[in-house]
Amino acid sequence: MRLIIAVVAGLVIAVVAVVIMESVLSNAANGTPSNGTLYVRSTG
Amino acid sequence: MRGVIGLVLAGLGAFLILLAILLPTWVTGRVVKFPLNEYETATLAASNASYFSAASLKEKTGVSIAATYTIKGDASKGNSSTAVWDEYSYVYDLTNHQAIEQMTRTFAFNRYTGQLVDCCGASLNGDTSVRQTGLVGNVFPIGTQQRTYQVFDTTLKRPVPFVYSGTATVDGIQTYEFVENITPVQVATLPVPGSFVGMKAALVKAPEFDQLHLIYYVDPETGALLDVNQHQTVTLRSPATGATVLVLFDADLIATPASLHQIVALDSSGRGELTLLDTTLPIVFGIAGGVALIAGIFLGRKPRDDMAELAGAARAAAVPAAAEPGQEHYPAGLAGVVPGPDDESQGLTAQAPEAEGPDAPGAR
Repeated sequence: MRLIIAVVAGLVIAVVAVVIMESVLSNAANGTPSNGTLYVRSTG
Repeated sequence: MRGVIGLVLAGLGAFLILLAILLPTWVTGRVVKFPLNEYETATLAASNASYFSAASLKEKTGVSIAATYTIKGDASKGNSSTAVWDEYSYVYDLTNHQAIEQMTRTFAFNRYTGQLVDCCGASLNGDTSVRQTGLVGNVFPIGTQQRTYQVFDTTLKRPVPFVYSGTATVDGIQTYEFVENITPVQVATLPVPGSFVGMKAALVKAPEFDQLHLIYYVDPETGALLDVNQHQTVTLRSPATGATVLVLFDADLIATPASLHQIVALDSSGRGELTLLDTTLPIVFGIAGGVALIAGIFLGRKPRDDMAELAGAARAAAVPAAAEPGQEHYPAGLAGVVPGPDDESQGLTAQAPEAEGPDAPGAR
Protein backbone atom coordinates (compact mmCIF):
# COMPACT_ATOMS: atom_id res chain seq x y z
CA MET A 1 0.00 0.00 0.00
CA ARG A 2 2.79 2.42 0.91
CA LEU A 3 4.48 1.53 -2.35
CA ILE A 4 1.39 2.46 -4.34
CA ILE A 5 1.09 5.73 -2.47
CA ALA A 6 4.73 6.52 -3.24
CA VAL A 7 4.24 5.78 -6.95
CA VAL A 8 1.07 7.87 -7.12
CA ALA A 9 2.83 10.71 -5.31
CA GLY A 10 5.63 10.52 -7.85
CA LEU A 11 3.12 10.72 -10.71
CA VAL A 12 1.32 13.68 -9.16
CA ILE A 13 4.59 15.53 -8.62
CA ALA A 14 5.55 14.81 -12.23
CA VAL A 15 2.29 16.29 -13.51
CA VAL A 16 2.74 19.38 -11.35
CA ALA A 17 6.35 19.69 -12.49
CA VAL A 18 5.33 19.44 -16.12
CA VAL A 19 2.65 22.10 -15.73
CA ILE A 20 5.12 24.45 -14.03
CA MET A 21 7.80 23.69 -16.60
CA GLU A 22 5.41 24.38 -19.44
CA SER A 23 4.28 27.63 -17.90
CA VAL A 24 7.79 28.86 -17.22
CA LEU A 25 9.23 27.85 -20.57
CA SER A 26 6.26 29.08 -22.55
CA ASN A 27 6.31 32.53 -20.99
CA ALA A 28 9.98 33.09 -20.43
CA ALA A 29 11.74 31.32 -23.27
CA ASN A 30 9.90 33.22 -25.95
CA GLY A 31 9.78 30.18 -28.15
CA THR A 32 12.16 27.52 -29.24
CA PRO A 33 13.74 27.13 -31.66
CA SER A 34 14.64 30.64 -32.68
CA ASN A 35 14.72 29.89 -36.35
CA GLY A 36 12.69 31.99 -38.71
CA THR A 37 14.75 32.37 -41.76
CA LEU A 38 13.70 34.90 -44.09
CA TYR A 39 13.66 34.43 -47.71
CA VAL A 40 10.46 35.58 -49.21
CA ARG A 41 10.12 36.72 -52.74
CA SER A 42 9.53 40.39 -53.08
CA THR A 43 10.84 41.47 -56.39
CA GLY A 44 8.69 42.21 -59.31
CA MET B 1 15.41 2.38 6.46
CA ARG B 2 15.53 0.20 3.34
CA GLY B 3 11.79 0.49 3.11
CA VAL B 4 11.91 4.26 3.15
CA ILE B 5 14.60 4.33 0.49
CA GLY B 6 12.53 1.94 -1.56
CA LEU B 7 9.47 4.13 -1.34
CA VAL B 8 11.47 7.22 -2.31
CA LEU B 9 13.00 5.38 -5.26
CA ALA B 10 9.61 4.09 -6.38
CA GLY B 11 8.17 7.59 -6.27
CA LEU B 12 11.18 9.00 -8.09
CA GLY B 13 10.95 6.27 -10.69
CA ALA B 14 7.28 6.97 -11.35
CA PHE B 15 8.07 10.69 -11.54
CA LEU B 16 10.85 10.21 -14.10
CA ILE B 17 8.90 7.74 -16.22
CA LEU B 18 5.91 10.04 -16.46
CA LEU B 19 8.24 12.93 -17.27
CA ALA B 20 9.82 10.82 -20.02
CA ILE B 21 6.38 10.26 -21.51
CA LEU B 22 5.09 13.82 -21.14
CA LEU B 23 8.16 15.63 -22.45
CA PRO B 24 7.85 14.56 -26.10
CA THR B 25 4.07 14.11 -26.15
CA TRP B 26 2.93 17.19 -24.24
CA VAL B 27 5.64 19.64 -23.24
CA THR B 28 7.39 19.92 -26.60
CA GLY B 29 4.16 20.61 -28.46
CA ARG B 30 3.22 23.35 -26.00
CA VAL B 31 6.59 24.98 -25.45
CA VAL B 32 8.30 24.84 -28.81
CA LYS B 33 7.00 27.60 -31.00
CA PHE B 34 8.24 30.39 -33.17
CA PRO B 35 9.71 33.36 -31.29
CA LEU B 36 8.15 36.75 -30.74
CA ASN B 37 11.33 38.79 -30.93
CA GLU B 38 12.97 37.35 -34.01
CA TYR B 39 15.68 39.46 -35.57
CA GLU B 40 17.53 38.07 -38.54
CA THR B 41 18.96 39.12 -41.84
CA ALA B 42 19.63 36.98 -44.89
CA THR B 43 20.96 37.76 -48.33
CA LEU B 44 20.36 36.24 -51.72
CA ALA B 45 22.58 37.03 -54.66
CA ALA B 46 22.38 36.72 -58.42
CA SER B 47 24.77 37.36 -61.26
CA ASN B 48 23.95 38.11 -64.87
CA ALA B 49 20.60 39.58 -63.86
CA SER B 50 18.47 42.06 -65.78
CA TYR B 51 16.08 44.74 -64.68
CA PHE B 52 14.50 47.95 -65.86
CA SER B 53 15.94 50.96 -64.14
CA ALA B 54 13.25 53.48 -63.29
CA ALA B 55 15.96 56.06 -62.63
CA SER B 56 17.59 55.89 -66.04
CA LEU B 57 14.55 54.50 -67.88
CA LYS B 58 16.79 51.84 -69.37
CA GLU B 59 17.05 48.09 -69.14
CA LYS B 60 20.17 46.98 -67.28
CA THR B 61 21.59 43.61 -68.19
CA GLY B 62 24.40 41.40 -66.95
CA VAL B 63 24.38 42.94 -63.50
CA SER B 64 25.00 41.42 -60.09
CA ILE B 65 22.30 42.02 -57.57
CA ALA B 66 21.79 41.33 -53.88
CA ALA B 67 18.44 40.92 -52.16
CA THR B 68 18.59 41.47 -48.43
CA TYR B 69 15.76 40.32 -46.22
CA THR B 70 15.45 41.50 -42.65
CA ILE B 71 12.90 40.31 -40.14
CA LYS B 72 12.24 41.93 -36.81
CA GLY B 73 9.66 40.58 -34.43
CA ASP B 74 7.33 43.02 -32.73
CA ALA B 75 6.97 41.31 -29.36
CA SER B 76 4.59 43.98 -28.02
CA LYS B 77 1.98 43.03 -30.64
CA GLY B 78 2.28 39.29 -30.15
CA ASN B 79 1.08 36.93 -27.50
CA SER B 80 1.53 33.32 -26.43
CA SER B 81 -0.02 31.97 -29.61
CA THR B 82 0.47 34.70 -32.22
CA ALA B 83 3.67 36.37 -33.35
CA VAL B 84 3.89 39.61 -35.31
CA TRP B 85 6.94 40.14 -37.48
CA ASP B 86 7.98 43.07 -39.64
CA GLU B 87 9.82 42.24 -42.84
CA TYR B 88 11.88 44.54 -44.96
CA SER B 89 13.46 43.51 -48.23
CA TYR B 90 15.82 45.50 -50.33
CA VAL B 91 17.03 44.58 -53.80
CA TYR B 92 20.19 46.33 -54.90
CA ASP B 93 22.19 46.50 -58.12
CA LEU B 94 25.77 45.82 -57.06
CA THR B 95 27.14 46.58 -60.52
CA ASN B 96 25.63 50.03 -60.93
CA HIS B 97 25.16 50.75 -57.23
CA GLN B 98 21.49 51.41 -57.61
CA ALA B 99 18.46 50.43 -55.61
CA ILE B 100 16.04 48.27 -57.56
CA GLU B 101 13.18 47.66 -55.21
CA GLN B 102 12.14 47.52 -51.60
CA MET B 103 9.22 46.04 -49.79
CA THR B 104 7.78 46.23 -46.32
CA ARG B 105 5.46 43.72 -44.82
CA THR B 106 3.90 43.19 -41.43
CA PHE B 107 2.40 39.80 -40.79
CA ALA B 108 0.93 37.91 -37.87
CA PHE B 109 0.98 34.16 -37.65
CA ASN B 110 0.29 31.23 -35.40
CA ARG B 111 3.43 30.45 -33.45
CA TYR B 112 2.81 26.70 -33.58
CA THR B 113 1.60 26.15 -37.15
CA GLY B 114 3.05 29.09 -39.08
CA GLN B 115 -0.41 29.89 -40.49
CA LEU B 116 -1.05 33.58 -41.13
CA VAL B 117 -3.53 35.36 -38.89
CA ASP B 118 -5.40 38.41 -40.12
CA CYS B 119 -4.78 40.78 -37.26
CA CYS B 120 -2.39 43.06 -35.48
CA GLY B 121 -1.87 45.60 -38.26
CA ALA B 122 -0.83 43.14 -40.97
CA SER B 123 0.07 44.98 -44.15
CA LEU B 124 1.95 44.74 -47.41
CA ASN B 125 3.84 47.85 -48.49
CA GLY B 126 1.65 49.77 -46.07
CA ASP B 127 -1.55 48.44 -47.56
CA THR B 128 -3.63 46.95 -44.76
CA SER B 129 -6.40 45.87 -47.13
CA VAL B 130 -4.29 42.96 -48.39
CA ARG B 131 -5.58 39.89 -46.58
CA GLN B 132 -2.65 37.58 -45.92
CA THR B 133 -3.72 33.95 -45.66
CA GLY B 134 -2.08 30.54 -45.85
CA LEU B 135 1.31 29.63 -44.53
CA VAL B 136 3.63 32.48 -43.65
CA GLY B 137 6.44 31.18 -45.87
CA ASN B 138 9.30 32.52 -43.79
CA VAL B 139 8.87 29.45 -41.63
CA PHE B 140 7.09 26.17 -42.10
CA PRO B 141 5.31 24.23 -39.36
CA ILE B 142 7.53 22.60 -36.77
CA GLY B 143 7.43 18.99 -37.91
CA THR B 144 6.93 19.82 -41.58
CA GLN B 145 5.30 17.02 -43.55
CA GLN B 146 5.86 15.69 -47.03
CA ARG B 147 2.85 17.32 -48.60
CA THR B 148 1.77 20.42 -50.49
CA TYR B 149 1.45 23.61 -48.44
CA GLN B 150 -0.44 26.76 -49.39
CA VAL B 151 2.01 29.62 -48.86
CA PHE B 152 1.18 33.31 -49.16
CA ASP B 153 2.83 34.94 -52.15
CA THR B 154 3.57 38.62 -51.69
CA THR B 155 3.60 39.31 -55.42
CA LEU B 156 0.37 37.54 -56.27
CA LYS B 157 -1.12 38.51 -52.91
CA ARG B 158 -2.71 35.12 -52.42
CA PRO B 159 -1.69 31.65 -51.21
CA VAL B 160 -0.09 29.42 -53.82
CA PRO B 161 0.80 25.71 -53.64
CA PHE B 162 4.29 24.72 -52.59
CA VAL B 163 4.60 21.14 -53.74
CA TYR B 164 6.78 18.68 -51.86
CA SER B 165 9.29 17.34 -54.36
CA GLY B 166 11.81 15.29 -52.38
CA THR B 167 14.66 15.64 -49.95
CA ALA B 168 17.99 17.40 -50.19
CA THR B 169 20.91 17.98 -47.87
CA VAL B 170 21.84 21.54 -46.93
CA ASP B 171 25.09 21.87 -45.01
CA GLY B 172 24.65 18.37 -43.62
CA ILE B 173 21.01 18.86 -42.63
CA GLN B 174 18.36 16.75 -44.32
CA THR B 175 15.71 19.07 -45.75
CA TYR B 176 12.42 18.79 -47.55
CA GLU B 177 12.27 20.44 -50.93
CA PHE B 178 9.16 22.43 -51.86
CA VAL B 179 8.64 23.92 -55.29
CA GLU B 180 6.46 26.82 -56.33
CA ASN B 181 5.90 27.13 -60.05
CA ILE B 182 4.12 30.13 -61.42
CA THR B 183 3.62 30.23 -65.12
CA PRO B 184 3.42 33.75 -66.53
CA VAL B 185 0.48 35.44 -64.93
CA GLN B 186 -0.65 39.05 -65.10
CA VAL B 187 -0.19 40.74 -61.77
CA ALA B 188 -0.72 44.40 -62.64
CA THR B 189 -1.23 46.98 -65.34
CA LEU B 190 1.36 49.71 -65.63
CA PRO B 191 0.99 53.10 -67.32
CA VAL B 192 4.06 53.48 -69.53
CA PRO B 193 5.08 55.69 -72.48
CA GLY B 194 3.79 54.22 -75.71
CA SER B 195 7.31 54.13 -77.13
CA PHE B 196 8.24 51.53 -74.48
CA VAL B 197 5.87 49.02 -75.94
CA GLY B 198 6.18 50.05 -79.59
CA MET B 199 3.03 52.12 -79.73
CA LYS B 200 2.46 55.67 -80.87
CA ALA B 201 0.27 56.76 -77.98
CA ALA B 202 1.96 58.98 -75.43
CA LEU B 203 0.84 56.81 -72.52
CA VAL B 204 -0.51 53.28 -72.58
CA LYS B 205 -1.48 50.73 -69.95
CA ALA B 206 0.68 47.67 -70.37
CA PRO B 207 0.11 44.37 -68.58
CA GLU B 208 2.84 43.22 -66.19
CA PHE B 209 3.46 39.46 -66.06
CA ASP B 210 5.17 37.50 -63.36
CA GLN B 211 6.83 34.11 -63.73
CA LEU B 212 8.53 32.22 -60.95
CA HIS B 213 10.31 29.00 -60.19
CA LEU B 214 11.02 28.89 -56.49
CA ILE B 215 12.60 26.09 -54.49
CA TYR B 216 12.51 26.07 -50.70
CA TYR B 217 14.70 23.79 -48.59
CA VAL B 218 13.00 23.33 -45.25
CA ASP B 219 14.30 21.60 -42.15
CA PRO B 220 11.28 19.43 -41.29
CA GLU B 221 12.19 19.25 -37.61
CA THR B 222 12.28 22.97 -36.90
CA GLY B 223 10.32 24.31 -39.87
CA ALA B 224 13.21 26.62 -40.70
CA LEU B 225 13.81 27.70 -44.25
CA LEU B 226 17.48 26.91 -44.79
CA ASP B 227 18.05 27.61 -48.44
CA VAL B 228 16.26 29.13 -51.40
CA ASN B 229 16.66 29.13 -55.14
CA GLN B 230 14.45 31.75 -56.71
CA HIS B 231 14.27 32.43 -60.41
CA GLN B 232 11.88 35.23 -61.12
CA THR B 233 11.04 36.95 -64.37
CA VAL B 234 8.82 40.01 -64.52
CA THR B 235 7.99 41.36 -67.93
CA LEU B 236 5.90 44.01 -69.58
CA ARG B 237 3.82 42.96 -72.55
CA SER B 238 2.39 44.91 -75.40
CA PRO B 239 -1.30 45.62 -74.86
CA ALA B 240 -1.75 45.29 -78.62
CA THR B 241 0.10 42.07 -79.44
CA GLY B 242 0.70 40.46 -76.06
CA ALA B 243 4.36 40.03 -76.89
CA THR B 244 7.01 40.65 -74.27
CA VAL B 245 8.44 44.09 -74.88
CA LEU B 246 10.34 44.87 -71.71
CA VAL B 247 12.07 42.87 -69.00
CA LEU B 248 11.39 44.51 -65.68
CA PHE B 249 13.27 41.96 -63.64
CA ASP B 250 15.02 38.69 -64.36
CA ALA B 251 17.30 37.08 -61.82
CA ASP B 252 18.21 33.68 -60.44
CA LEU B 253 18.74 34.36 -56.78
CA ILE B 254 20.46 31.96 -54.39
CA ALA B 255 21.47 32.31 -50.75
CA THR B 256 24.97 33.59 -50.16
CA PRO B 257 27.36 31.20 -48.36
CA ALA B 258 27.52 33.58 -45.38
CA SER B 259 23.73 33.65 -45.01
CA LEU B 260 23.54 29.91 -45.44
CA HIS B 261 26.14 29.36 -42.75
CA GLN B 262 24.39 31.74 -40.36
CA ILE B 263 20.99 30.18 -40.92
CA VAL B 264 22.24 26.61 -40.59
CA ALA B 265 23.99 27.54 -37.33
CA LEU B 266 20.78 29.04 -36.02
CA ASP B 267 18.82 26.02 -37.11
CA SER B 268 21.31 23.63 -35.55
CA SER B 269 20.80 25.37 -32.25
CA GLY B 270 17.05 24.90 -32.55
CA ARG B 271 17.49 21.27 -33.56
CA GLY B 272 19.67 20.70 -30.50
CA GLU B 273 16.99 22.07 -28.20
CA LEU B 274 14.31 20.01 -29.90
CA THR B 275 16.40 16.84 -29.72
CA LEU B 276 17.02 17.48 -26.04
CA LEU B 277 13.29 17.79 -25.32
CA ASP B 278 12.11 15.15 -27.76
CA THR B 279 14.72 12.44 -27.49
CA THR B 280 17.64 12.85 -25.10
CA LEU B 281 15.82 13.78 -21.91
CA PRO B 282 12.96 11.27 -22.41
CA ILE B 283 15.47 8.44 -22.93
CA VAL B 284 17.56 9.43 -19.91
CA PHE B 285 14.49 9.96 -17.72
CA GLY B 286 12.91 6.74 -18.95
CA ILE B 287 15.95 4.59 -18.20
CA ALA B 288 16.67 6.25 -14.87
CA GLY B 289 13.00 6.08 -13.92
CA GLY B 290 12.74 2.40 -14.81
CA VAL B 291 15.80 1.52 -12.76
CA ALA B 292 14.62 3.60 -9.81
CA LEU B 293 11.14 2.09 -9.93
CA ILE B 294 12.40 -1.49 -10.04
CA ALA B 295 14.86 -0.83 -7.23
CA GLY B 296 12.17 0.94 -5.26
CA ILE B 297 9.71 -1.92 -5.65
CA PHE B 298 12.37 -4.41 -4.63
CA LEU B 299 13.41 -2.46 -1.56
CA GLY B 300 9.89 -1.36 -0.73
CA ARG B 301 8.59 -4.94 -0.71
CA LYS B 302 11.45 -6.23 1.40
CA PRO B 303 9.85 -5.74 4.84
CA ARG B 304 6.82 -7.69 3.74
CA ASP B 305 9.05 -10.45 2.43
CA ASP B 306 10.83 -10.48 5.76
CA MET B 307 7.51 -10.88 7.51
CA ALA B 308 6.61 -13.73 5.20
CA GLU B 309 9.92 -15.39 5.91
CA LEU B 310 9.39 -14.86 9.60
CA ALA B 311 5.93 -16.35 9.38
CA GLY B 312 7.30 -19.27 7.42
CA ALA B 313 9.92 -19.90 10.04
CA ALA B 314 7.29 -19.73 12.72
CA ARG B 315 5.18 -22.28 10.88
CA ALA B 316 8.14 -24.58 10.61
CA ALA B 317 8.80 -24.24 14.32
CA ALA B 318 5.16 -25.06 15.03
CA VAL B 319 5.26 -28.49 13.42
CA PRO B 320 6.61 -30.38 16.46
CA ALA B 321 4.06 -28.69 18.67
CA ALA B 322 1.23 -29.99 16.50
CA ALA B 323 1.97 -33.50 17.73
CA GLU B 324 0.73 -32.60 21.24
CA PRO B 325 -2.85 -33.69 22.04
CA GLY B 326 -5.51 -31.03 21.60
CA GLN B 327 -3.12 -28.68 19.80
CA GLU B 328 -3.25 -30.19 16.33
CA HIS B 329 -5.87 -27.78 14.87
CA TYR B 330 -4.15 -24.49 15.69
CA PRO B 331 -0.52 -23.79 15.03
CA ALA B 332 1.19 -23.08 18.28
CA GLY B 333 3.62 -20.78 16.54
CA LEU B 334 0.84 -18.48 15.41
CA ALA B 335 -0.69 -18.53 18.83
CA GLY B 336 2.66 -17.46 20.16
CA VAL B 337 2.91 -14.50 17.72
CA VAL B 338 -0.62 -13.34 18.52
CA PRO B 339 -1.01 -13.72 22.22
CA GLY B 340 -4.54 -12.44 22.36
CA PRO B 341 -6.35 -15.36 20.76
CA ASP B 342 -4.33 -17.86 22.70
CA ASP B 343 -6.92 -18.39 25.41
CA GLU B 344 -9.66 -18.54 22.83
CA SER B 345 -7.80 -21.13 20.86
CA GLN B 346 -7.45 -23.14 23.96
CA GLY B 347 -11.20 -23.04 24.34
CA LEU B 348 -11.73 -24.06 20.78
CA THR B 349 -9.31 -26.90 21.00
CA ALA B 350 -11.22 -28.19 23.98
CA GLN B 351 -14.18 -28.71 21.67
CA ALA B 352 -12.12 -30.18 18.90
CA PRO B 353 -13.12 -33.79 19.47
CA GLU B 354 -16.68 -32.84 18.43
CA ALA B 355 -15.41 -31.87 14.99
CA GLU B 356 -15.80 -35.02 13.06
CA GLY B 357 -15.99 -36.00 9.46
CA PRO B 358 -13.54 -36.55 6.67
CA ASP B 359 -12.60 -32.83 6.41
CA ALA B 360 -11.99 -32.33 10.03
CA PRO B 361 -8.26 -32.12 10.65
CA GLY B 362 -8.66 -34.21 13.71
CA ALA B 363 -10.07 -37.03 11.60
CA ARG B 364 -6.67 -37.85 10.23
